[in-house]
Amino acid sequence: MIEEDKELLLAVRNVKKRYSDHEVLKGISFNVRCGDILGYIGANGAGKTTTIRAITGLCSINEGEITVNKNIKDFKIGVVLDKNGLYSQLTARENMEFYLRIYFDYNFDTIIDEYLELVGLRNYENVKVMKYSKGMKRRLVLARTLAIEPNLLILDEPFDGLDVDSQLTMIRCLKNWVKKSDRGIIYTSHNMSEVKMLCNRIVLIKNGEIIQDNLVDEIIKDYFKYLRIQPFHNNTDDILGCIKGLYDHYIIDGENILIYTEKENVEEIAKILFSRKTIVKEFAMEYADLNEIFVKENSIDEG
Amino acid sequence: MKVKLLKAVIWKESKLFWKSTFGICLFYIIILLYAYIATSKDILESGMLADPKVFVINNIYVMTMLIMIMLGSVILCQSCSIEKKEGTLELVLGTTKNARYIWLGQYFFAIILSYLLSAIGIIVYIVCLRTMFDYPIPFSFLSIILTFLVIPVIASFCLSLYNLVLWITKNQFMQIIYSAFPAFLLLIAFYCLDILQKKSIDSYSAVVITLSCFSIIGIFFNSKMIEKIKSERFF
Repeated sequence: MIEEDKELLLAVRNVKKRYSDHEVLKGISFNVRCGDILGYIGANGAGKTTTIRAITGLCSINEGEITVNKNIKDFKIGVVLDKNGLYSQLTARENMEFYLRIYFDYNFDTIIDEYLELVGLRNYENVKVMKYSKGMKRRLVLARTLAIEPNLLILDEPFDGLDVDSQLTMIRCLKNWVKKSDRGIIYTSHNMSEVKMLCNRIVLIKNGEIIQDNLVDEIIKDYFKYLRIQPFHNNTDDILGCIKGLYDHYIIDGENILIYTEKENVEEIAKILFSRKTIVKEFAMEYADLNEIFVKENSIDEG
Repeated sequence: MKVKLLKAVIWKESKLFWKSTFGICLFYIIILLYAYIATSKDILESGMLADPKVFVINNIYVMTMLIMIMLGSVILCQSCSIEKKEGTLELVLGTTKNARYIWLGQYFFAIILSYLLSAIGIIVYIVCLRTMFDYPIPFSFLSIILTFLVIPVIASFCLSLYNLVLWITKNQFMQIIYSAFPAFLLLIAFYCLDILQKKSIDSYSAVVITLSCFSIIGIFFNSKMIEKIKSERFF
């Protein structure tokens, strides 16, 4: 269950956005609460970027409302978009200082030092950004965004160009960051393993409509794949004998029997095996991972 | 946060100016001053002028207008071009949601810098006339007001129009318009100058006040316009 008692940071209510020839957002609604790392996922053209742009005010909406928590003083939104938005003629330090000057009056140097150190760019602080690699630019963008101490952090493919170590470091950093009060993250990516590592909630958007909005574990529970039974001391035939005629849709995969059936039938199978005193080594319900869920939801229309 | 945003944008513009536009502006000023001083020398020495003071003071008025509008246009165009090319405008707008103060920051920087450069240009011109040709400084109180106040205000209005056009036009074809627009602004500015010069002293102050007020209102109106325009128009 989504924790409704946490303070609300952002509320998106029945938002519709129409371009001249088609409707991109068809009345989407979701909330972001303190401590949420919301994975906002969908296929290309589903409406993710339009939603982000609507939240940040970069595009207008035709209907609905988007509100932030007005009880939080100086509510700040930090954004990492697909474009880096760095001034290539300026150094890393200057790029960061510009953003910090928008929000703070002093202590720029201390904050800049801290965040450049965090992303491993301290030794390159006085190098012009035009000389940075793609990964270095991305790290600088993350540092710049975190340095302004936003309440809501919106990340659009933030780890593009980063090596695996850097990605893991940033994921750990973001998980720690969001634990502090009055903070939440909206995270969009096509990389489901990143989403799985980072996010506690998923909002799945398809063709401008939200089709899933729940905790990651709860969503995965809706996508049961099969029951996996690992026999004990080669009693495969005994197990198959128990279910013969009742659940015949199965395959033998190495040591395991994979039974494809509805989730509701698992208890029945367990009762049958128990009643016939058939011992098994392992009895596990296997669910789809996020990649498979994503592919399945986006291919349903294609039949 | 609005004032901080304004100051931050001006700070950023100054950093970018020294790294990208400074050379062009310096080159322009030097060429312009050289042309003015060289032609002034020839004309003054020819003895053909009925009233050389009027010639010199008109030169100063025109120079003020030229430097402010041309340099201001270069600074604004470069600034806008960088923002759109680097995608920085999107990010700053998305974070601050305050297009007006970003626009004002760019605008004020361009105005302040072009004003300073025009003032320096005029001082250099006058000093050259004085030292090289021993020509007296032809300033009266009225001409000082015109040179350092009224004409810059009119030029500032023209530049505010230009900045508005830069922000709201996205079409590649409009690059041609960007190049021609400062020339159009110069036409407006010189027309205003012409009105000023043709008026008798009695109606002078009325015209000066009218033009100045119109310009200030125009600047305010243009900055307000930015707020009314939808953000997606800027990308």
